[in-house]
Amino acid sequence: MTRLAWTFLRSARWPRAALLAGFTALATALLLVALTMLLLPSQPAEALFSLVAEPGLRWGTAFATAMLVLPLLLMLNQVVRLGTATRERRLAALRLAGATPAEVRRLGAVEVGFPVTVGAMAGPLVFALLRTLFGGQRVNPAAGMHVVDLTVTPPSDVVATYSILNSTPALIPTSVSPAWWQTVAVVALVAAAGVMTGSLASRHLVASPLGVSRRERRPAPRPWGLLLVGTGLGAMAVAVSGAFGRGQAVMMAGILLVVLGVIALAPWVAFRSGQRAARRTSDPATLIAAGHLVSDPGPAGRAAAAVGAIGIVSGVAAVMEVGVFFYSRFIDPFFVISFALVGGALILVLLVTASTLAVHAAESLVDRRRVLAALVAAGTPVSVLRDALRREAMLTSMPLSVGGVLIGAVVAGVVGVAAADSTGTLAVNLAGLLFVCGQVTVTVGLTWVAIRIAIGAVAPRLLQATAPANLRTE
Amino acid sequence: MTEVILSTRAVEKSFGRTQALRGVSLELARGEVLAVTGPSGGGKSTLLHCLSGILRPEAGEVRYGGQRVDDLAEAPRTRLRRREFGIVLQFGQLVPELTVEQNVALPLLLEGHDRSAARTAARAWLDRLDVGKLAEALPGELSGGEAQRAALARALVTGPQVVFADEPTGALDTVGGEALLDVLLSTTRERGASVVLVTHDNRVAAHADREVVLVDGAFTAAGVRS
Amino acid sequence: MLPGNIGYSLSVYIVCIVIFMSVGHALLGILARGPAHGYDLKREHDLRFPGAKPLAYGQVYATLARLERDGHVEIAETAQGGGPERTVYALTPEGRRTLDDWLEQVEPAGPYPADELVRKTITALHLGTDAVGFLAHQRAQHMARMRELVRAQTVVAELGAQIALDHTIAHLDADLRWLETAAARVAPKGKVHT
Repeated sequence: MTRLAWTFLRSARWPRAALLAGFTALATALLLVALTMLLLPSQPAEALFSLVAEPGLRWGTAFATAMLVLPLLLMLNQVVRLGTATRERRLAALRLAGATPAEVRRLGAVEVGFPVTVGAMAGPLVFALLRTLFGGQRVNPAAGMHVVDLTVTPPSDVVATYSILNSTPALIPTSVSPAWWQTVAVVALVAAAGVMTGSLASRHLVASPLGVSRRERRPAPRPWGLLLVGTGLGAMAVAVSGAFGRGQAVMMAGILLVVLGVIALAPWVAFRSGQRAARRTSDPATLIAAGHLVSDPGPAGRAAAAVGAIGIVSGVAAVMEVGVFFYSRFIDPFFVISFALVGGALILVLLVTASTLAVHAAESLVDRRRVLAALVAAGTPVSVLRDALRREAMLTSMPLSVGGVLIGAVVAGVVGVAAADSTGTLAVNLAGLLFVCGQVTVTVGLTWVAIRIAIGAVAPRLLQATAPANLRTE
Repeated sequence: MTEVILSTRAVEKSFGRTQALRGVSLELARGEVLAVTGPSGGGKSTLLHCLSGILRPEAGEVRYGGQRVDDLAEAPRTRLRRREFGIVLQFGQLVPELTVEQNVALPLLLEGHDRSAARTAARAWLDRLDVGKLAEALPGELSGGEAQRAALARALVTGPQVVFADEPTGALDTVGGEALLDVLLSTTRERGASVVLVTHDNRVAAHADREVVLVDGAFTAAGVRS
Repeated sequence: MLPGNIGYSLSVYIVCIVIFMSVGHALLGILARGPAHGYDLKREHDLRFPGAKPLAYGQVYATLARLERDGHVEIAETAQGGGPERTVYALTPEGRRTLDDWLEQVEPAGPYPADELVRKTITALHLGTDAVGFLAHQRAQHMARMRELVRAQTVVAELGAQIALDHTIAHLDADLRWLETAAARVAPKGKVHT
C-alpha cells in the first residue's frame, strides 16, 4: 500500500505539494518565533522592539504571532481540497477494487502528510532566515537603555536615543533560542496535524465507496459562530475590567474565541449573502455565483474567513490609533511603529487570504468543467463566467470585511469612549471619527482590490475549463 | 421548404495530429431534421460543434442564413448561439446549483430580460414539456428523462431556428428516449425549426428526414430522402 | 477475397437460421470460383454457413439437377463410371448472369428470419465484388424501412400493434448493426477495427 502511495505522490501535481510544504514551513517558523519570544528573560540581552522587549507586552506579541498561523491554516485547508474531484474518484475506485477503509485513510494521510512533514522540517530554516532579517542586536545589559517605562514621559534629550534604539525592526530574539527538543516538538506537532488532516480529508469516502452523492441538498449552515464571538467578547470585557495579571490570559482567550467565531460564522455569512443575491438578481453572472455559493458555502466561507478577522483588527486598531494620536500631546514612535507593524501584518494576511480565495476559485473551476463548458456551448459568454467567479469571492468577502471593520470599530469605540477620562474638543472628536471612517474605507477598499487581482489571476484558466473537449461523453 | 438555413463547405478541423473533419460539406434546409450517424470517434460531435459555432474550423466555411459565421469573433458567435441555436447534450448540462427554472431562464437573463419575465417564460416552457412541477427542484433530484426535458426547455427558450442534439437519448432507456424524441421533434416542427441530430442509434436516426453517415471525418453514403 | 472464417464471426446470428429453403443461388456463388464436384460443393457450402444445418447430398444433387435443367449450370466432365459423385459441374454464362442479377437486387428488409440477406451478403463477400457498395445499398434499404416503421409507430394506437412493431423494429435494428459491423470489418486496410 505504501508503494501505491508513493506512486500517487509522485504523479500528483507538484504545485499542490509545494504549496503545502511552503505554507507549513512558514507556519512552523512563526510558531518558533512565538516560542522564542516567550523564552526571553525579563531583561533581554539584546535590543528589541518594545513590543517584544517589554515583559508585559511580550505575551500579547507572542500570541499575535501565533494567531498569524490561522490564516495560513485556512490556506492549507484550501490547498488540501485542491483536486478533490479527481482524488475522490481515484479513492472511490480503490475502494471498489477492494481497498479497506484503513488503507484509504493511510493513502490520504501520506498524500498530505508527506509534503506537510517536509515543510515542517524546513520550518527551522525559515525561522533562521527570519531571524537574520528581523533579529535583535546584542547589547550590553548594563547599558540599561532598552527598557522603557511607558507611563513616564521621557525628557526630550533622551527621547532621540531611546527612540532610535527601540525603533529598530528587531522583532525576533537572537539571544535565546528554543531548545532542540522544543523545536522537534513543534515540528512534530505540525507534521502530525498535517497527517491527521490528510486522513480526515478522505473520511467520507471511507464510509461509502461510491463517493459523495449530489442528489440531496446540503443542510444550511447555522450561525453557531455567534456564540463563540459572544463568549469571546464577554471574556475580553472581563479581562478589561478585572485584575491585570489574570486579565491578560483571559483577554487572549477572548480574542482567540472571537477569531474562531468569525471563522465558524463565515460559511453562514456566505450562505445568507448568496441566498439574498439569488433571490433579487436579474444578472446571470450573479445568479451563477450565488447559486454555487448557496450549494456549498463551507469551503468558500472558510477561504474568506480571515477577511473578517482583518476587518475586526483594523477597526479596533483604527479606534486605538485615534486614541493614541489624536488625544495625546506626544506621539511616541513606539506606537507609530507598532501600528505600522499591525498594518503590515494585516496586509500580509490579506495577501494570503486573497490567494486562498484564488485557490478555491481555481479548484471549483476544475470541479465544474463540464457544466461550465455546457453553459458556453449554450451561448453564455466567457466574460459572464469570469464575472461570476469574481462575484462569488466578493459575495463572501465583502460582508465579512464590512461587518468586521464596523464591529471592530464600534465595539472598540464604545469601550474607548466609556473608558476615556476626558472628552476632547468637537474638532478633535470629528477628526477622530473621520479618521476611523477613512481607515474603514481603506481596509474594505484594499480587500476589494486584493481579491479582484487574485481572481483575475485565475480567470485565464476559464478558457481551458470551458473548451468543448470537456463536453465529451465517451 | 428547400430554403437552406445552415450550410458548410469543405470544413476541416484537427486536434493536434488527429484530423477530426476532412473536408465536410452539407446543407440543412429550414424545418429539416437531419441525422448525423457513424461510429464513435468519427467526428460527429466535432461537426456539430463546428456547425453551431462552438468551434472554428481550420479550413472551409460555415454559413447561417447565407452569412459566414465561422470567421466571427467569440462574442458575436456566442450571441448567435444563444439566440438562434439551441443545444441539447447527452447529460450534465444543467447547472447543479440552480433550480430547474433558474437554469431554463438563464439564456433569457443573458439576453437582458428581467427576472420576472424570464421566470414566466421558463415556467411556460417547462409546463409545455410536462415538467412544470419540477421548476423548484435541483437538477440532481431529477430522473434522466426529466433532466433532458429541462435541458430541452433551456434550448428552446430563446426561440432558436436550429436545434442541435448530441446523443440526447443516449443516457435514457428505449421508452424514455422515444418520448424525448417525440417531444423534441414535435416542438421544433411546430416552430418550423431545423434539427441536427447526432446519434449512433439507428432507431433515433430513423426519426429524421435525412441521414448522413460520418466515418473518420468524411461522409460516406448520403441517406435516402423520404 | 476474404478468408473462409468470416462465417465464424457471424455464427451467433446464423445459428438462428433453421433451414435453408433454397440453396440454388448459394451453389451458383460457389461455382463462380471454378468448377467443382457435388461433394466439394456440399463441403464448401457447410464451411460458408456454419450455423445452418449441413446440406444433405440428396438436396445438393437435386438442386444441381434443377439448375442444369434451367441452363444455369452444365456438366464439365464425367469421370469413368458415371454416377453423380464423379461429375464435375461448372457455371454457364447464363448462370453467371443469374447470379449477378441476384446479387444486384437489394434484399427487402424483413420478414424474419432473414436467410436470403445473409446468404447474399456472404456470397457477395466471397466473390470479392464491391462489398462496401453492396453493404451501403443494403443499409439504405433497411434505414428506409426503419423510417416507415418509426412513422407507423406514431400513428398506431392499439397496444398489441405497438408491441408487434417494437419487435420488428428491434430485429431491423439488429440487422442494421450487423451491416455496420460487416462494413467496418470490410473497410480498406489501414484502419484497425476490432
